[in-house]
Amino acid sequence: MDLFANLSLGFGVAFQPINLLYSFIGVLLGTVVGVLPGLGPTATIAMLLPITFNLEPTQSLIMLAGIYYGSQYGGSTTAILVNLPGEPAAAVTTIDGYQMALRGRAGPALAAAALASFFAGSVATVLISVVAEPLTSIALSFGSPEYFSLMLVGLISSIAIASGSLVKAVAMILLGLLLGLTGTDVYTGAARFNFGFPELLDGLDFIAVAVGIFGFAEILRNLESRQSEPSLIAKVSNLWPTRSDLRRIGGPAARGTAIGSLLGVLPGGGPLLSSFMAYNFEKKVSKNTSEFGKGAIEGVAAPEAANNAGAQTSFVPMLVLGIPSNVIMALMLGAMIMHGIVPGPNVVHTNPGLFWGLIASMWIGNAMLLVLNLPLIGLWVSLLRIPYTVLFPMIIAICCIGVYTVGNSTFSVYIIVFSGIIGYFLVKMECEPAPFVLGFILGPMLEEHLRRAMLMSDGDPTVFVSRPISAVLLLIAVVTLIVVSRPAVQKRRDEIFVEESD
Amino acid sequence: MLRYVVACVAVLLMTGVSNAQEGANYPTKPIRMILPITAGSGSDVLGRLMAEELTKRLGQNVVVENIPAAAGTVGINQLAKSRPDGYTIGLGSAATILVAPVVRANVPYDPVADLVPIGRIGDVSAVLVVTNDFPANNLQEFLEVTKQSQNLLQYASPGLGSTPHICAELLVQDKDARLKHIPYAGTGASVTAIIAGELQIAFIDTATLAGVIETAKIKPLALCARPTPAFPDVKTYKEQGVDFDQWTGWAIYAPAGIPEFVVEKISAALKEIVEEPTIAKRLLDLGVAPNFVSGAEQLETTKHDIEVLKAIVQEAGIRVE
Repeated sequence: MDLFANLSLGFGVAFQPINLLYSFIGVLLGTVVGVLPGLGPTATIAMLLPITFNLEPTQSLIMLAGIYYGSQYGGSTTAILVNLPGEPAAAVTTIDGYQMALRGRAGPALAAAALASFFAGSVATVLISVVAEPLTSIALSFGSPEYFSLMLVGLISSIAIASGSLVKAVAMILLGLLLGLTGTDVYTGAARFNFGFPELLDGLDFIAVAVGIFGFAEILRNLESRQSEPSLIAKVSNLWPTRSDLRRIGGPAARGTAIGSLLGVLPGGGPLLSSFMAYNFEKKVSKNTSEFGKGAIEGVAAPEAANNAGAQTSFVPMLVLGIPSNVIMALMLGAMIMHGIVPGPNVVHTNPGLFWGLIASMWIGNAMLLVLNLPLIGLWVSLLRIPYTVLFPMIIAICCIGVYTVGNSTFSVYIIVFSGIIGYFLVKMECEPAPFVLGFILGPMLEEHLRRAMLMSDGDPTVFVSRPISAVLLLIAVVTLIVVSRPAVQKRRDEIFVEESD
Repeated sequence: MLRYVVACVAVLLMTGVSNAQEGANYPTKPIRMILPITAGSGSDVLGRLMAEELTKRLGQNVVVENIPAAAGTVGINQLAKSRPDGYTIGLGSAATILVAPVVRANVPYDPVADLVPIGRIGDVSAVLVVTNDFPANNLQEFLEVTKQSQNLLQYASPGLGSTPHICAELLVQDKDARLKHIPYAGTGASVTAIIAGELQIAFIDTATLAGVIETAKIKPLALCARPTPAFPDVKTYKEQGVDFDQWTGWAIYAPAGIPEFVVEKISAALKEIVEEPTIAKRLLDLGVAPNFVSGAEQLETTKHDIEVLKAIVQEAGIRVE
């Protein structure tokens, strides 16, 4: 069967010692970069591109790819341990991951993340080999109306993420939406919410905001309540997930992989969107919905699987059609062109070794990451035993450095501080930051696609229902809205019960 | 304590002394190169390539700093306001030097008075592309099709006020082309739109086109500005009857007031770099036509082109806050 022949060619290439070495360097670097908040795979890959000029194309692509999905692994480590998403896609993992850590279950959380990611990586590798072309064709039929409807589904289902009061959740989404609109209007060039600062014309830096809202706010809160120290060093009972944990990871990992594989292929998609959607979806279908937000292991497994699958499948449109679905893919595209390889349907025939070798190395890279991360869980967890008075300045310093280096801009560091203060107040008012992040990301995308769809249809709103995919998505959105608002009354009652028993 | 103070003062004085001997020894410390581009984009690769090559020839590290905020204007502003001692240079493009000051409000630098071009690296053209099944093979036929169409034909551009957008508006003004602007956020998004078939017409740039031409089912119809060896069969606007051949591309700039010997040294190194065959090939691969031009000539081009662009932009009413 062609598939086996191709994969065996691929593994033959990928197992060559030099390629193994570059894969290892890539994933190691990626993990480190992922762990450091602010510094991301984009800047790292960009900085390493000139060095890769002198390497063989296969080697450089393997290394760069390793950095990319390695960073997804690394990002979840800090998300779980200190509530700081090292990568934007790990923002969702903080919700349940950090809760698990607070309850002394950091080990199982990290293991769940690693295992789910490995599972997703393996499946995605096979998936890419089999359905690369059909997947991309579907993605290409996504126009602005479809994106709008997809974003709408995302936003509505994000109400479901909030486990607290419905009103607060909606308020957070709206706040995120408003802040996300900062920048320049794509269509009229008007400046929005920039208060005269040219640095804000490109919008608020998401990483800076995320670091501030999640990380700094948490640090501020911990500093305020001195009793937090013992809980961070809480008895890390078990470093490994229990058997029941493992059973609970399976389903979410599978669903997360499916969602991630689909959304990763979409231009503009990738790990970020995948992880959010997977979390939402998992929360709805899970039997343990009530645990979400308080340390449900499914809430770690699903987004982690999704973001890894999303990261890998985002290679597909780039390799097969030459369309980069996000900035990192654009970089890879540039790297390939540098080496004189033009991605496209022909690359499978002209450079089969490169294509299949890259795909095989993704699996190997995932395996290496699993081997790297699982034993290191003990190490990461013991980092938590560092006295907080030493740990938190380190965290603050690393975050600020990371965010600064992306654009050499002290302004971004001010944004971290600003967001941190906002985040602190949010925590005090018991508002969750997660819906905020979703509103921040999805809101502007929703607007861009809505206006473009209307612009292209000359103001005809029926375009959203006359196109089949968009119509289906809108239907899902409506259904989601109904489903989500029904338990609202129920939630209020739960809340009252909880408050009374406190 | 006193010895310590004396030592410090002595060191400080020596830095003053060493400046006087600059001319012969320049550069004596690392040079900062501002790239007003996001780390990781295609142009960033170009910038880093230049930095690497300049490092080899000047003997000192040329350190890259990405300052992408506000379409690069923040970075160029920092360049313009930096000390003109020869240790800060920057990569400027038509977008930041020519277009931004004309299209955007509140640009805090004057591209002619505050900046000095050291030398041009190469040219990038905006290019009109259409899908393969579009019924036109050159600019004339394209204009015919737009005239005969009932509705305004929609085209993608990388954004409001971008060079490709201006090129499109030029056709609307000069040739009464019936076009409707659909802005996208950046070159990536605009080229994806035409490849995916969402739109049939797009104005992009040769750099982006180079990356997709082999596989995408699109054909370039006209180059807005200079001919490029990357696409020798595509005629320019001027050749097809539209009077426009302003420069778009990349050049190295420095703050005004920089000493002559710095300009000469870097300019000479740049000329060597751009004319070396392996690097010229890499530039072509990136979609940039290597074309070294001296700082003085680049300045003349800048002055002239700004006036032309101002006229077009004002008439089209393009304004970005």
